[in-house]
Amino acid sequence: MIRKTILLLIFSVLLTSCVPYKQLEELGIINTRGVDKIENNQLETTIIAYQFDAQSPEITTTVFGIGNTIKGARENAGYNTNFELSPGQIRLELYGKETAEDGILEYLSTLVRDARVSDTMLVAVSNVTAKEVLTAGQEELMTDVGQLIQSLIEKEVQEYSIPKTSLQNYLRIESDIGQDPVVPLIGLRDKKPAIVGLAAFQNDRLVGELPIDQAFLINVFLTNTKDTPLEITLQREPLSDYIYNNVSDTYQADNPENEDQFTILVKVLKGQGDIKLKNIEDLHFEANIHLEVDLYETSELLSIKDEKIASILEEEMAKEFERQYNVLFAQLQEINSDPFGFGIIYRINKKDGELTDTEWREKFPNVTVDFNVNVDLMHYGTIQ
Amino acid sequence: MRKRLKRSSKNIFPLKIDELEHLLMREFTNSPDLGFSKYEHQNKKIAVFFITYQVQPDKVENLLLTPLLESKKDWSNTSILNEIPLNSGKEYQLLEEILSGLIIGKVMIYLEDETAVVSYDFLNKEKRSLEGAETESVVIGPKVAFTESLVTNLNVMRWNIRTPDLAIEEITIGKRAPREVRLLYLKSLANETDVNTMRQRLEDLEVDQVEDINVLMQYIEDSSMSLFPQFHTTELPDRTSYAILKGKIAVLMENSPSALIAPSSFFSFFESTEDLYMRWNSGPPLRLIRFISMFISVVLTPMYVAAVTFHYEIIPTQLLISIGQSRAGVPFPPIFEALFLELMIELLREAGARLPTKVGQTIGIVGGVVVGTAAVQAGITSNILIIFITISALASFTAPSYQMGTTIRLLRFPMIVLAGILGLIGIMFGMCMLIIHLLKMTSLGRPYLSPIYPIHFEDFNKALFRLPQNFQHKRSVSLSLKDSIRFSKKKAQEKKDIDE
Repeated sequence: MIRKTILLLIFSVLLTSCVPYKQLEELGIINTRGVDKIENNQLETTIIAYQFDAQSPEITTTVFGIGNTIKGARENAGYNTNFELSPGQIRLELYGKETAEDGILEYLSTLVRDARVSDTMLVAVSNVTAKEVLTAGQEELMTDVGQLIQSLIEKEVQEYSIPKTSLQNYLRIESDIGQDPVVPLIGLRDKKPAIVGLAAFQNDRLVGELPIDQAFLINVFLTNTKDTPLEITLQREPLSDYIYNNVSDTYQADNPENEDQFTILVKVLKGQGDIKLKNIEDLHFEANIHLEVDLYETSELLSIKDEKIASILEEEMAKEFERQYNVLFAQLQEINSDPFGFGIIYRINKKDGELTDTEWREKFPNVTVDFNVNVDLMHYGTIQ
Repeated sequence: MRKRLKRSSKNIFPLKIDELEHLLMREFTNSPDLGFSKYEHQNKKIAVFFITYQVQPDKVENLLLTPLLESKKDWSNTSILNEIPLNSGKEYQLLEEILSGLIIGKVMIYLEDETAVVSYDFLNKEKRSLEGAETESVVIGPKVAFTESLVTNLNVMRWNIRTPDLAIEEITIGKRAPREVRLLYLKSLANETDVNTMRQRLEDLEVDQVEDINVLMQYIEDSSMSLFPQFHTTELPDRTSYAILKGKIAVLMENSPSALIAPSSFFSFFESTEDLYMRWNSGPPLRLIRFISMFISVVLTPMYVAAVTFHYEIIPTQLLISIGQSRAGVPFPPIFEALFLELMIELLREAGARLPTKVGQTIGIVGGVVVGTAAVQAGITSNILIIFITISALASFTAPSYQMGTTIRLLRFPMIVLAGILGLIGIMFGMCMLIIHLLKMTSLGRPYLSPIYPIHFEDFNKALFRLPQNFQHKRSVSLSLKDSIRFSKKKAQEKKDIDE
């Protein structure tokens, strides 16, 4: 028995053979990678990696590599560093605008097939080239730009201002027929990296850029949002009786013809969106959005003594949101990208339940949607 | 040996006093310890002999010699036994019996030409008084510990369990230097098979001598190749009596300051009597901490080695940076770094245990400074690993049983080696081996991993956590006791306080 056990032990150790060493301090651990297409169909990668060198206190390093594949480019970048570059800790992959316009699925598939790479890593698109964003930021800020962009995105995702953009999320939405992914668009503002908008995809190809404040409108349909701060501009006219003028100490504005807008900041405590197919022949949808908001700040003093003001505000906000939805939807139809997932609802309601990508691409521009926004003003007077 | 046995089985009496003295002096190789005094009383020669330091001399003088020599009677063996007011009088005829009697402190009286000697007990045994427990110190509850004296220990146990139901069986083990062993259990409760097995194991033991109960444990345990202790040895009488009252069996041994409890499951090694004394809801979390710390102690350092050597992707990014920075200057691979530090801790512990208390403190400081600070500054180890090693060392000391703690500490080393060679696969491999081994083990024939395997949900309440007392109406199922009910559940839940 003992002999058998010992034999079993020896064999099981021998048969597993040697596992390749990946000793931490001998690796250049890729944290952020930028991918750009350059001429001759080649790829240029910008790699921000951690390396632990006893001689140098600096741990982040930026290296560049050119190759025909991502791994080829990584090998090429490896000539620049004495550490073995490995992708196990990659947290952000940033694609250049032109690269993304040609499709990014082939790059993502190598990531998702690598067991070492975490599926929760972020995917983002740059509005210039990835190299430009990553290097310019590095020079300007003297910090790890990769980390910076990650925390920028993570913070916004946590506030539900932009939809989740992990690798797993992207690939799930991408492979769903009838829905398209959106990812944050990273650009340079004052030479510093910032989220400048939302990149709308058609399948895996970048087709358009949406303004960042519209990201919330899309996110309401993707998840139940909580505690999102939002600035919204309303028509001044219906509120004008309640706007307090502290110069003349009256409710009369100085020169109402000059200003026809009134801006408020609200926190959307709860946001829910729901899509219903009303008529399958006409491709007519109804989208119901329910928002519960707190009023935090107004651009001018507003008298909230009168209860009527609450219902006026609710109504005006709903109107404004409906207007924004219509504008956004028209824009999305133009670029033929469907991040809301109308296609999924259509497929569910279709008799055979089958929908091909080309079929939906043909139908989507002809879809009509009624956006019904219902705003509940929960608290006002809170200032934070 | 044979010659001696032959001679001792023969009756040597009657003989002259001088002949007896000669004989005894030869047996004791002229030892000055043997006090042999001869008296003449009413024309009869009387010899009184004993080993001087084994008896209480003033008692011998007052209670035996004075009435013996001052009386005007004509003594014979029968009249001595009848008239001296002592209860331990006995007659011996065989030389072997006389010799062993002398050794344990009997006083022998021989009247010339009688056919036997008369003996009285004046045993003088040096023993220390009862003291608080040291290896199993407790914060609340009784603190008294067993001593080396079996009589004292039995006395304590009798006071703890005041019922005639408590059986105390005497068994003598050791052929060349016999020792007395006592088997304690509750007649109406303990499983008969368990008692029989234990009695048989003790009786069948053929050895020259048994030094201590921990040695006895190794002679009678189920698997002598295993790293795990299969019987619990404790120095706490209250813990022993608690185990007996639960239906287990305890073994006490002459000259050994601890008791052996059988059968013991793996989980019982993590029980402390304090769990019982604490309130039901505050004791179990502490036990949970002990279970967790056992796991940490076995797995934490190997996990570090595996993660740093093979699986850097499982480390959170921020932690990765600090681990990477501290590893950067270390010239050794993680496995050697970890083994080196673990060895260092073991050295410190061993040195601390061997040295006198005052010097031991110095060792602690020196070790702390050298290992903690200097080793990191010299770049031999990384400071993150020092934290891990310290946590796992601390965790291993939480086991209430010292034996179990040592086992856990030793288990780390093969795990580190496996982690260093095969990474997480190695750790899993080691854990599987460990669990297979534990599943196969028994203690007095009862499964070691009970109540997890075989599963007894009723006993989870006792082994893993503890419900309030009025839910404790059943005894442990896995012990298959004679009486499985402690009290009526219905009655316990009746409210007896005054309604206002």
